[in-house]
Amino acid sequence: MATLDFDVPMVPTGEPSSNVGPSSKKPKHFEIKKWNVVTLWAWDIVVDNCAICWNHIMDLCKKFHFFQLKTVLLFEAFRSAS
Amino acid sequence: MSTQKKRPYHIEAFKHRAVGDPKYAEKTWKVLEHAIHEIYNHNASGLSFEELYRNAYNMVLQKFGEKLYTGLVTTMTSHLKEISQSIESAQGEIFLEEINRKWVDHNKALQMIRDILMYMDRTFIPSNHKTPVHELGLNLWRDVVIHSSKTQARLLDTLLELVLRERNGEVINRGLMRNIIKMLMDLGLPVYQQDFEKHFLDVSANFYCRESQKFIESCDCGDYLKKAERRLNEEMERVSHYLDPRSESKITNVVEKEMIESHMHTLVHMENSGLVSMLVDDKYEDLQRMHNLFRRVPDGLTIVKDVMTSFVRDTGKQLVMDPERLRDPVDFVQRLLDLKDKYDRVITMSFNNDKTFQNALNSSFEYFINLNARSPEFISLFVDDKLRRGLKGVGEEDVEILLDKVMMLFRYLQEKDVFEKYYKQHLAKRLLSGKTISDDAERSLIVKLKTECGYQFTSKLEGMFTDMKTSHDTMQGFYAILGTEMGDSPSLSVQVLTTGSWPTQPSPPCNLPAEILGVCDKFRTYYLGTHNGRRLSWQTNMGTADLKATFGKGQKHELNVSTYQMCVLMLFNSAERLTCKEIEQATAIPMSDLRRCLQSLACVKGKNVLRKEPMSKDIAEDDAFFFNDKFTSKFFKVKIGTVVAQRESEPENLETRQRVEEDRKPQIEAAIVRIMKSRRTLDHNNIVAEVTKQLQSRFLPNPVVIKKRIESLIEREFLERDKVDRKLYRYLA
Repeated sequence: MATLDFDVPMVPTGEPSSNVGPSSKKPKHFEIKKWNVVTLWAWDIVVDNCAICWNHIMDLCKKFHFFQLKTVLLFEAFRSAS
Repeated sequence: MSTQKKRPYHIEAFKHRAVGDPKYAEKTWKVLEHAIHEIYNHNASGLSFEELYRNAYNMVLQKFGEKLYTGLVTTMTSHLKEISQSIESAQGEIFLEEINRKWVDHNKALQMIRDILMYMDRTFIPSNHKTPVHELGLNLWRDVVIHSSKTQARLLDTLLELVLRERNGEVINRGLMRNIIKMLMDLGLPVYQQDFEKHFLDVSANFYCRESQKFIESCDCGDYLKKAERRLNEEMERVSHYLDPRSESKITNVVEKEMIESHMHTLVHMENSGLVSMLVDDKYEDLQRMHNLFRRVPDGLTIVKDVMTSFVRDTGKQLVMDPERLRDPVDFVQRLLDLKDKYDRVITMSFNNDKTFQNALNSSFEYFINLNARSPEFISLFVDDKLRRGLKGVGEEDVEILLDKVMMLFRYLQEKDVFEKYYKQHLAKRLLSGKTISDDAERSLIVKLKTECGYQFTSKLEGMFTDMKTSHDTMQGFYAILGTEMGDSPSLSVQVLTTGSWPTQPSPPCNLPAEILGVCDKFRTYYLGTHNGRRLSWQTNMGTADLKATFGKGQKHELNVSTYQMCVLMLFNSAERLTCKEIEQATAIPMSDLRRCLQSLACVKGKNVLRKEPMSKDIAEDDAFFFNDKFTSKFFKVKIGTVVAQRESEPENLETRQRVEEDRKPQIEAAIVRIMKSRRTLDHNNIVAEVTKQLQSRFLPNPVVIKKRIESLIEREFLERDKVDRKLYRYLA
């Protein structure tokens, strides 16, 4: 009832600044406390398939792919340097 | 002095008895003959051994050996004829006793006679190839007494009658039986065999044939086998008491043949009591008896094994094909383990760990487990259930026991790579949600899988554990360096996963809440600063968030939600009303995921932190959602929509299968390349055989698929066809 009384006088005055006040003070419904997130890392290259066996670069023959990957990275580094 | 005295006597005697004195021989023999009579008449005490020995000695020396030997035969024979008549006239049960008594007398007499005639035994008899005295006595006893027409048949009948009476439960004079049987043995093994054993076996065969027929009609299987076992034991006992040991295997063969072999099919298949009933009802003792008895006959155990195998296969098949069972994978697998435990117990307790039965059981399990294509998935789900909660609080030893049992089932799988696919999915969920009860148990199982299938099979699984460890270290480093700058930012816990090691689905980017972007950027900068040449992509279809929520009356709760749910809820901090469509546009969450997400948030009683209009379970694009000011819960922490691994729906199952098939292609190709690289040239059939051999520890390659892979390798110029023989392939360096 008191709230209602307070509300009634506000309306007749029609002052916009009064309306803005309560709105800005309104508390948030939700607040993020913690996020447990999953992210994937991959090599930052455009081509991600093996040129020889056509499989994804992260798949089989990892040793070979790693060697090939280093070559690709070196090549890209050289190209960006030039 | 004694020598001197004897020598003159000897010389004198020789000189006195000139060669060729027939009177002397006749006179001397009379003395000996009389002595033999006295011996048989139990009047030996008055005889002079020395005198008699000397007489026999002199007769042989003076070339009267033939007369002496012939006389012996004649005299002994006449006495034995008297004895034979005496035995024949014995009435009733006295008969055996009379034989025994006379036999004892005969042996005593024979001993003395042989001693008297020892010189003849050593000289004349060998020289003239005659039968030695003792043996002669036995032969005469056999021919004159035992084989007399009246005694022979009667003796056999009497012996068999006594055996029959004993079989029927009477107590007989076993000592007497033993003596008579020993007599027959002393007369020579052939006598024992011909005069007794052969007939004994024949009569026994008839006896057991009739008895087994009677038993088979009136007993159930268990009782019958008890009786058969008792009969076997009785016969063995009889042999040990009074038959020759060599008869044991013969008489047991008879019992086995008549009581077991003749009826083994009937016994095994008896309704309500046969092998199947014993297996169902865990009749370990009966099963052991069956195994022990059937082992004694040719093919006996083969029948038992075949029936057991057939039953196990049927039972297992019903288990794996029952639609009802498919609804609960954990129960499905538990029943398989229980079934294996049951038959392992049977084999251990009743079948003497018989390797043949173990192999049969193993091949049965391999047969029916692979009848259900979802067995690999279900075994993985079983493991998931145990490693999430089933093994909580269980001791290390018991964990190992259970994991070993799981490995046993795994070994039966023909498509081990399907198991690996599912296992990887389930392991990923356990690791990412922190739900696994024991890292040690997880690693233990992976070690077993590696032992079974090799490093390649488990390398990605191990990579998953490495990623978890590395992520933990990364987060520690991140907060150690930047912790002071975080301020009021949300806490972040990032699991950085290696692409390719985890069974992730492509995750389209969605719009994260503004509140979280800052800390994400900081982490990205940190991570890429220590790992150059990499890129990170957030997997918003995974992950969870803890939100602090405040509701209408000021009550506060902590919500645990998925990443998508976090994105949705944060929108309502700045909006009163949003339609499904509007939420999709604001968050970029795929509609199918969004619908499920909103259902969890608005349609689950007790968890509906959002309010929905209209209040239906289905979600249409223009349905409206509001913050639920009236939400209440008796719990401070409210968990919304966490999904435990569940069995896949049919379309998902098909999808997984297709991914498995795709993954097999490079493996088949790698195998082909390995083979061709070492062989250089090989024909089609041998390639198929070699590839199958190399890969069968993971899956059985399909020859059609192998053929396609070969074609693909030819296209990519790893291989070429021989120009002359199109079935021949050549490796290209």
